Amino acid sequence: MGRYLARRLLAIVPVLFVLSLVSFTLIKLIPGDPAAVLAGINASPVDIGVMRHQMGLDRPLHVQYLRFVERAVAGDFGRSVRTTRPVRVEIAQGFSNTFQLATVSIVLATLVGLSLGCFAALRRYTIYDTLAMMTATLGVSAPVFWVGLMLIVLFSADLRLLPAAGNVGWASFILPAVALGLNSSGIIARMTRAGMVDTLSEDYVRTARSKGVTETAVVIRHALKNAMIPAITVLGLQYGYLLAGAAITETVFAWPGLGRLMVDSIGYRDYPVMQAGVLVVGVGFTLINLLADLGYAVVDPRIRYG
Amino acid sequence: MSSRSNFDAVLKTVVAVSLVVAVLGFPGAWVQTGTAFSAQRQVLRYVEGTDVTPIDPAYCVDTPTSSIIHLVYDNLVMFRAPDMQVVPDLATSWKIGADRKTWTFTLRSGVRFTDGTPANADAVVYSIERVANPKNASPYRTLFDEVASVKSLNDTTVQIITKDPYPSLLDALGQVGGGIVSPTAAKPYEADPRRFGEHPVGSGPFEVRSWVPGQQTVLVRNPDYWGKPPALDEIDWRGVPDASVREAMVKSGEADIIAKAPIQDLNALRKVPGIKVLAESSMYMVNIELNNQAKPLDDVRVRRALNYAINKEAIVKDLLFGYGRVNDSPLPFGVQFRVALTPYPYDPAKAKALLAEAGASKFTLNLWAPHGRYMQDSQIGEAVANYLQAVGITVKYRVWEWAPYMQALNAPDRMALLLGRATPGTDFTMTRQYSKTAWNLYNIGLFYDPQVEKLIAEARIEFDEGTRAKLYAEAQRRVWEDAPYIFLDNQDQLYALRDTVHGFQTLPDEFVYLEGVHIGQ
Amino acid sequence: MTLRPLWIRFRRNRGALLGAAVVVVFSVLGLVAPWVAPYDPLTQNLAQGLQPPSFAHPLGTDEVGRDILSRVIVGSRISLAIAFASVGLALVVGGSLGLLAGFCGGRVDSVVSRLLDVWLALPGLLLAIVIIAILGVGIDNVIISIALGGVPPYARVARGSTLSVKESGFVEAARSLGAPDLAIILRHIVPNILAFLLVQATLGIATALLTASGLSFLGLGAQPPTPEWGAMLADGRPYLISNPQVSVFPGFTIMLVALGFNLFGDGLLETVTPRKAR
Repeated sequence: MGRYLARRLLAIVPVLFVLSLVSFTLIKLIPGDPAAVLAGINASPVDIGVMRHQMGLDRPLHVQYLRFVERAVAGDFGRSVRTTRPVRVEIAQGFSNTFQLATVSIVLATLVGLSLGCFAALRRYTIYDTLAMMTATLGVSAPVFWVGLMLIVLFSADLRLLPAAGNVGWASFILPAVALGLNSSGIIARMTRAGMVDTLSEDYVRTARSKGVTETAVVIRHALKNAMIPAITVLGLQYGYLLAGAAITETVFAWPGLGRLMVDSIGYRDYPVMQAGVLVVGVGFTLINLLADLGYAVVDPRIRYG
Repeated sequence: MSSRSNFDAVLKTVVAVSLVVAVLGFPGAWVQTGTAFSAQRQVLRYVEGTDVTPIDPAYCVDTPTSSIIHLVYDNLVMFRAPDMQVVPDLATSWKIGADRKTWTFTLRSGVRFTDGTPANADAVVYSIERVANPKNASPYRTLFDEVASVKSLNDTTVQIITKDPYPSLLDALGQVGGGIVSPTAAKPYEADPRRFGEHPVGSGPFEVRSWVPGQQTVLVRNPDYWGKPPALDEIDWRGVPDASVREAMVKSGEADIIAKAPIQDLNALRKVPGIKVLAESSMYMVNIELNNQAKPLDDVRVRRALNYAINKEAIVKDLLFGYGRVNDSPLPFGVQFRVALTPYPYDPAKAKALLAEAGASKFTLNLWAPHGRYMQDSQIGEAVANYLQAVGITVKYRVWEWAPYMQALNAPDRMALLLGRATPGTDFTMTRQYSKTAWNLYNIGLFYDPQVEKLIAEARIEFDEGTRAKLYAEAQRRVWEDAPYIFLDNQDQLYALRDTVHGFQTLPDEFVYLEGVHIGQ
Repeated sequence: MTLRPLWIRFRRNRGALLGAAVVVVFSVLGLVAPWVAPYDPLTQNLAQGLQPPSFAHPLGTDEVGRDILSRVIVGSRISLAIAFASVGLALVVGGSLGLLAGFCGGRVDSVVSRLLDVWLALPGLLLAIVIIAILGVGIDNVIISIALGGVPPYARVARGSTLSVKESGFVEAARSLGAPDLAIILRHIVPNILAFLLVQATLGIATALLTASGLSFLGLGAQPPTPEWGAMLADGRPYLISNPQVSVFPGFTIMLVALGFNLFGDGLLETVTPRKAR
């Protein structure tokens, strides 16, 4: 296990390096002058020149890149143009809020998805199966931002049950988590059903059933465990995706998360935040996938020695 | 099959239990009823459409945060409702010397900033110099262009000497850039002055308890305020971009006041029990600013034709739902010395004729508009594009995010830009928008009329109000006939409040004065 | 693989049939849209703004008086075109990359796989937003950015299938007979991996549609007055409480079409994938 972990960690290093290069380059390509943005709308060309020198933008590109990486490793990404706070504070705040929301969404989605998937698998090939899977597919097909808006209109404006915006207490998690989790629960449900159907028709399961073990016990002991492998993959991917900031949902619910921060920064041409954001998101996603792989390895010993 | 029904039972129980838990654990805790009586703390939850930017008079350029600046800082003088008169604030009185260039301001004595520093003449000098210093690159630097020197004669006397006689000095001092900051608090940030906004210290009725961009800004009452203490203990200020979501918040009680209420829902909102609606005239005038140097817009007939081509009444009636009025002056509504002129009527035939006369029957116009900055901005832009196309012009319409739009304002290929402006102060507006001295700064339309230039320069140094009025009237008339813009509309400012909020006041410049608000039955 | 037994298998999946119906209906609609729409989707009529559904306007009107039904119909052409184009582009780019990696193996495979790892590390929407920030807004750039964001799955599928084909011995046999690589690729590999790629593509259309509407929702996609479904949804945001028709109908259509493609794609996947006996 240790060797597997070491191998995987080693494989990540080139990825991280390329990620830093990509985030630096991509943001550099965005048209606009960061010095002009910081200097403000009434700055004269001389003011902008001074600003550019202060920001180190008149150095050659590779020098700028090296400074970026050097500082990034130390956690210093400069200051946000929009709010003047240190970028790492903005990112940390955004990440924390997105993390909370993503976790709640995933828990919700897993509960719903597993239940729906089990239900469908146990009723496989009947009309209930078809309906359950269509519901799951509906979840995957719904435009999340539209669902979010509808939820707000129904539960906040009309019924006045739940808060509409921001991270203001545990009740404010419900609507955005439902909107976000819709997608994931659909995927998890489908995966669970597929995995369980496969396992349930295995010989050893049939043997257990013929011995009189109740189907519930079979479900819990065997099928569910084996269905976990694809489920973990999906969980990992979904968690990573959600963490990357379900940007649109956060915009709709005014959730102060990483996704919304990225969208706002790009709109505002807040270059320091954009660069740090892309890098952090990329690194985070990679680490999540690594964790998912490790989760695999825990559940399925075959992988460790492959 | 019994095993199947076993699982059934388990599943059903789980679902039932979850439902019960969800219903019982009803999220009632978060809903503040908003009726805080005098025994409890008076907390106002205010929701705007944009987030709060750094609370620093030298750098704040958006109107919503400007309201906070006025709550946190004092100026020498302030604008008051309802007619934008200049009244004393930190300065109790002032005298103008015989040379008409020396102003002597007497300050209130004994005022302190919230960090204990005396708010005296030294602080005033420090604040003004901070804004005027080119090294600090403040957007308000040009406010004090006419100031030759500012000195503190003693603790309570400030002397300002202007380069020329300058009646608009009071207008300048009352603007956001004239806010007085605590030198003790600002000095540590002199190397990077923008960071002062992280720890703002002023002497106003409120002070900043916390500022978390993206989440919330909390203001609390300043116990040492020299003036009438506000009734509110605390203001929780949030930015929520979606108008529908803001509406949901005021309906559910999550917000006490929302700004920029959704325009088409106002009539429905009026009828909702517990909610009242406020629609006040605003200074904000929205026009399509034309690049007067770009062909064929350099021909005045073409510019007039564009004005005849648009049905402005329809835009106000149908897109603004009547919450506004057709613009009838180059100056914003509520500005001193504004005169009402005759709007260009809707006359597509005349528009086509003028275009033909100018030899510009068919040309391509780049029309740009921002999105979500002003009320119905991109919708108005679309409607304008439609009208222009109806008279034969090919329109390339483009919607921009606000930050790139600000940079696009100076793009060489700009032709027509939808822009809203509201600057209190006649001289400021005339100079910024219609004078050659502001070319490529605020006068993005590159308008220049030597006669108008002369009138503006004369009026700037003229103290006699009657003469000033005549000069400005003539200037406005000339600008109007020259049609440097497609003049569109003056908008209203729209708020929705809960019934429990009293004493809410706004000014035409959309600054909200929350000092007088109290929450009660 | 002959088609008839596949069709019989496909037919048994009720969901897939429903999906196929939706796909066909909207694809046809997209083709004949301009002749079917009752009104011109661009004609404004300010006085008739924000009308609820009526006989004259079955789906109501938007804020400048345009007929929503017509805009939804014409929008199918635009939204589907964006989805098809971006998926097609991603398929070609990703498929080629994956094929290359699988076929050549060795260093090429390592490099491409690392590249894909990095590619996968950046979520599609974020990548799309950044690419649009670089290229500018508009339909063409939406297609490019969605395509670029969506390449990895196609590369993975192509690589995996190519590897299977290689392992099955066809390639070695053909080489030993002296066939040039290009011919091997075209005659053996491409036909075998195409099926999987197409299935992936069908599922990808729904995602592309949702991403495109998401980008338009953020103001980064189709520009006004283009009647793209996501942009229409965004336009209706301010009117959600009083005049929901402006947002509800386009949003519902997006969901319906995405659902159709997903069901259809699922059906294809099931049909094409060998399964154990029931």
